[in-house]
Amino acid sequence: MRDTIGKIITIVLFLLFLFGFFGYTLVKSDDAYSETENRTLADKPEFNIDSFLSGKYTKDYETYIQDQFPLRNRFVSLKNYAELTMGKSELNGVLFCSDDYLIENHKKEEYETERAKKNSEAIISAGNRWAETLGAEHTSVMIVPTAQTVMTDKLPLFAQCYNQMEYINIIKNGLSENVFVDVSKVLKEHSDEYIYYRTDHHWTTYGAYLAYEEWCRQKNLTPYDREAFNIEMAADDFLGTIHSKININHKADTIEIYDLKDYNVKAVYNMQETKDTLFDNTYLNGKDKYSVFFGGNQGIVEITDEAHDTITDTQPPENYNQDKSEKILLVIKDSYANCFVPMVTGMYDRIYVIDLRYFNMKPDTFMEMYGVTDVLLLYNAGTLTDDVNIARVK
Amino acid sequence: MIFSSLLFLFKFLPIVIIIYFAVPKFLRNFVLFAASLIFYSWGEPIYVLLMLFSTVVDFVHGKLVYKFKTSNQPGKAKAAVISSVVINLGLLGFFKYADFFIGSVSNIFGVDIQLLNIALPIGISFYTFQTMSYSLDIYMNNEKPQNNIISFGTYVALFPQLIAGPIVRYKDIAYELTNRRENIDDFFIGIRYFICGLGKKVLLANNIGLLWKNIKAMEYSQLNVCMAWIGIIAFAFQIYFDFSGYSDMAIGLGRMFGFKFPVNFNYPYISKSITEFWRRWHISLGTWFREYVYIPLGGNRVSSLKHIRNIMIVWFLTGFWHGAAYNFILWGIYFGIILILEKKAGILKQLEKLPSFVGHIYSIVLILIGWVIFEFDNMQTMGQYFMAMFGLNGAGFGDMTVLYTLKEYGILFIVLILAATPVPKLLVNRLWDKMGNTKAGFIRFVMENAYNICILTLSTAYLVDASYNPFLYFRF
Repeated sequence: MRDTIGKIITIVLFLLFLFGFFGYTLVKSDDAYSETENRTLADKPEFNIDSFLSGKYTKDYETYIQDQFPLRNRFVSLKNYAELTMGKSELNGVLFCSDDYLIENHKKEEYETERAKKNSEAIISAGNRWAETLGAEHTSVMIVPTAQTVMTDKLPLFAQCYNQMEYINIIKNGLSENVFVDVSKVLKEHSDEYIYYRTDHHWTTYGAYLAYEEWCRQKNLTPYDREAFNIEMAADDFLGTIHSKININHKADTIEIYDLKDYNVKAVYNMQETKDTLFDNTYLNGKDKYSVFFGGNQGIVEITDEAHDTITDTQPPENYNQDKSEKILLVIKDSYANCFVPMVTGMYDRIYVIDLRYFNMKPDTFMEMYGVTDVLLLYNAGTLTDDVNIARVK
Repeated sequence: MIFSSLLFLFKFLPIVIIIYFAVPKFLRNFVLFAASLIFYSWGEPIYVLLMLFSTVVDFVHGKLVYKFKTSNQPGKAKAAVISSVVINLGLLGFFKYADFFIGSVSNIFGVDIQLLNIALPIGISFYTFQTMSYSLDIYMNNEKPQNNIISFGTYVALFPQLIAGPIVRYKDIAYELTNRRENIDDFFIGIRYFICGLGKKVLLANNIGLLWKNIKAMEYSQLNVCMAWIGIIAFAFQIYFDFSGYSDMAIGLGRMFGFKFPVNFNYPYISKSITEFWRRWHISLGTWFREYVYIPLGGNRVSSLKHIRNIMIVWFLTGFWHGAAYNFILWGIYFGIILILEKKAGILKQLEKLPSFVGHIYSIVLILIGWVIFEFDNMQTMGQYFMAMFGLNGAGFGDMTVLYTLKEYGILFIVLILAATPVPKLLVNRLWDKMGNTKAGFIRFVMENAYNICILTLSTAYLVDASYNPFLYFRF
């Protein structure tokens, strides 16, 4: 008898588990968006015979259940805790490193794809072309290695990451003299400092500042001292993109802003909106805090000061700056440049920052029309290989 | 649909359990049949018709065989049973092997015939074997045919064992189809089987499968000896826990609804010979071939030469059953030869005399080599992988990646090794026996339930997380 009661309890527990979540899925309302994953979640698919027969409906329905499962984030965390308990130090392509660093592991294969090859060739041919038209001293290509290549001391025991310098050096060696700006050495020298975020794939503003100094040194420019900036801690609770892949409790990052003193910035966003700042503090309240710089990736931003008229919000004058009376820098970039560019303000009469993901004009046409005298191409080596837009510089 | 999915666990299964136990007995086969058709058509909306066709054909054939047999017309009975077998093998041949034959003919004669590119209907290798066993059992084993086509349809389509077995012979569940009594004891045992299988599949097979996926994707010319062996060991664990986990879930589900399916795996990796391995691996398939091919051919009660022929036929077919490609045939022949050598060349007797670890190592190495043949359907890559395993590619013995892999997967490997042996089960049982009194009974009760909930919760977590949940057996 006692035996039977025990069995009934086991059966009830099992059924409770099944029916509990079954009921929960019935009453739970669907979430449209997952902030941690930064993506929209699947909707319930519409049933019709065609999509059922083709197998599309059933597939979509399973994705829907997976995306909308109750306590989804908690289950994902539980899974990751279980993996860590099993001694794993690499989850979801993220390495758990010393000093609370989460480092994304980009594999060798990513650097050997057709696209990776195409992108490096495009950068080489563009860099060499600009060096001819603008002069090598006015042309800079900076490909920044990510933490996996710089912070090798922090990697887990026995772990070996692909050395991005293999790929970066292909670009470096393909470019004519003095065009490539190699920041890997200076970053490496400071690799025990806070130059990359622990939970995000970007470098810190300090890391960017080190690269900025190096860029100035190689280009014979005079960099601002750190004293020239108001250095302000904008956030101390930043959990970035790498953390999103893991979704378990982790030490948060701090974000610093380097805001140039004594410079009244005037910036035109996307050829329309003029602002007096390069920062958007509203992002500090959300998840995506790195977007405090420029309010995220913008198609084009023109940066100048009170002394100059802006021109991207109107038509550029004919034959504008053909005499090179103004120093005008074009930055072609990904998000690594977002914390870098504010340090360059004031060193040029005018800076255009374009992000090819959101800006369609061919860079060379733009340079011609807008009288560009200097160009800086700045990308990180982590995401460069699958960037589908950079090849347009070719 | 597969068992190890959120859809099955938290939608399909609860609904089926409610309806099944809510309806009166005489409707329960119908509920199972309908549920099975939905289960099948979820992944194969069109091929469900094929399965229904097969069901009707065999139902009619069964009747005919029985009628001719009981009315003393053995010739016609034989013709009917042959017709059934031909139709089933025809279906299997067309949907699974047509392109293989076309490709082979094209190759041999140097002509270019258009391939049909037919998608393999899920589970066809399993359900055609089951329906064949129906007419064969009536013909050979004096089974009575099923009078109710719904009950027969339930046997063919029964969702617990539809996709990946075990292959249940008709005579094994003929009685239960109409006379089973669902009860608490069976439901309880069913839950234990099911949870155990779920854990094997989701927590063990899928995770070690990730390692194999990584190693398999490497460049074999640079793969060192250690990594190659770690890789194939990972695959050996993946395929065992995947397949046996799925079988356990099937057995458990069957048990919940009152069916007793045969055991399909019995710790195959602890075997001391290949003969023993095949008594422990995919038992229901082995039983099927023994019953319907090997014994009708005369089994071992014939001349030595014919005995060898019988073994080779069965192992050729076993290999070919696993997939329409040369490597599977090779895999079957490989084991056929080893079995013949073990039986005829006295290897078995030698092994018995030696300490048991010799037999274990002998078996494991041969099994692992077998898995390489099984896993690579391209002969060239298979060759390259063998080169890597035996250091013939010049990539050396080991490197830092080996240490890293062992660090990352070491604990999992230990769990896998233990779970592949009966040791944990024996230890736990001994512990309970030692305690023995009422208080221990209570502790045991709490522990077992906690274990169940843990496995369920963790499996759910892995399923929620997983975009990686491949199912290996669609190929069969």
